[in-house]
Amino acid sequence: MYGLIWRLLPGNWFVKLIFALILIAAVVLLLMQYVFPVVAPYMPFNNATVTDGSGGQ
Amino acid sequence: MVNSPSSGNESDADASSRPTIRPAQRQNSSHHPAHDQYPAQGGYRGREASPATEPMSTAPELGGGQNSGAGSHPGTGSQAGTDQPLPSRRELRRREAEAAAANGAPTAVYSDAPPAYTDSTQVQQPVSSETNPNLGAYAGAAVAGYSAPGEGSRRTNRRRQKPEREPLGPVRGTIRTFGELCITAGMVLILFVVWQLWWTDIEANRDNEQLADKLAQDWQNQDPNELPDDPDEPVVADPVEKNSAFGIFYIPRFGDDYYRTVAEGVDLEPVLNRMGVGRYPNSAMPGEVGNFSIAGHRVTYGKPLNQIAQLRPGDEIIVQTKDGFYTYTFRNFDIILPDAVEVLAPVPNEPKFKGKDRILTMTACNPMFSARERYVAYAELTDWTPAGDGAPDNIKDSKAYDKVSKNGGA
Repeated sequence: MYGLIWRLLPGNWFVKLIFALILIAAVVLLLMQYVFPVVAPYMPFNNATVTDGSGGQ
Repeated sequence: MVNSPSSGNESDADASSRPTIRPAQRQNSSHHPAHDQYPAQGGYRGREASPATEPMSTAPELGGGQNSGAGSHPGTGSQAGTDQPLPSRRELRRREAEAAAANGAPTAVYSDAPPAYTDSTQVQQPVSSETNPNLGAYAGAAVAGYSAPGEGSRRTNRRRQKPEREPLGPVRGTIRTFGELCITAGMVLILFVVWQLWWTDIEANRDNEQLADKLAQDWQNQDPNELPDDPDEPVVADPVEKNSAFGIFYIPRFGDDYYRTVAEGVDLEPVLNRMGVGRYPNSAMPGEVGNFSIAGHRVTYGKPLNQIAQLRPGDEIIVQTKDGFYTYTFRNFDIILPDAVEVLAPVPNEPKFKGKDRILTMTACNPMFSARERYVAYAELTDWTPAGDGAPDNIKDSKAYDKVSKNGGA
């Protein structure tokens, strides 16, 4: 998988490295900006409210 | 020296055009310890000679033979590597794997050899091949048939072969991809933990500062509510729309620079995750008789109530609104189950009664990083300062109040 990506990247190894870093940064940004905030409410450690079970907060 | 590169190239050509040569060579190299049975050729010569037997011994019978008695064919050595009928690829791969399994690092012997080692054999080779056919066969094959005993050529060999290597079989390819996915999943989980424990704090604190500044500026442009006739009776704050901030909490026990906004609603987004603490809808407003109840994160997202367990009876909690400063005094705490909504009643835990006190109830998760229980802290309104009179003494000189008020707060 990663070997394939590396082979698909253009240029010599230095250019490839830069592309790879950009790709990694893009993935990290995507995860932190959009994926994690959606997932976080389902995690069992940041519920601060008391509810009667119907509110779902 | 002359022979070495040429032979190396030749074998490269072999390797590129017919890569199946390679396993046979490796196979052979794995065999060489067995050839110590030629005591006459002790030392490096013996080692060097052993690869020479490869064409004879391993080509007909790659898997098994320690029997290299075939030394009797002097002429075949140099071309043996190319003339043999080749077994199938699968067979070669299997043998290679077997050999690799049988003795861990078959190439180590050669790569460890000193540089002089290669030279000496090559110098001797032409001589010995004439005078001693047997030995010559060995040595000649050592150079030509067994492509590259020297370090340099071996290294280039390997590097050159890299792009040409066969694609992984379906099974190995699948396993490798699966492994890479597992590693990726692990990295994503680590990243999630980093994001949750570290980045949400940074984001939430930044948002909270901006919100508090904005709130303080807004207050400047608004008239406070009219004060009641009785100076001891606090002004009741006006209700606000959902998800909008209406006050600022100062809790000196949590630190000199501690302040968090309080907003309407207890939804995770956007209130609890980004706007400090949240007020339970339908609970009392600050200053109102009843229960002014709020919820806040104890961990992550700026952790506004992180130190809620550090509160001691008598600690003051100051809520600033447009109208002034409400000073609540902490009384006691409790640890409850997540569905214990009766703590939000005007008289906590006694939903039947209406109550006449002005209570502040704060809830947060307990234990930390768990949703098993809730930590609840009760406080009671003990003092009230209209906005026009300035901040109460205990926060007047605090960093938190400085920070808020320098932007034009009340």
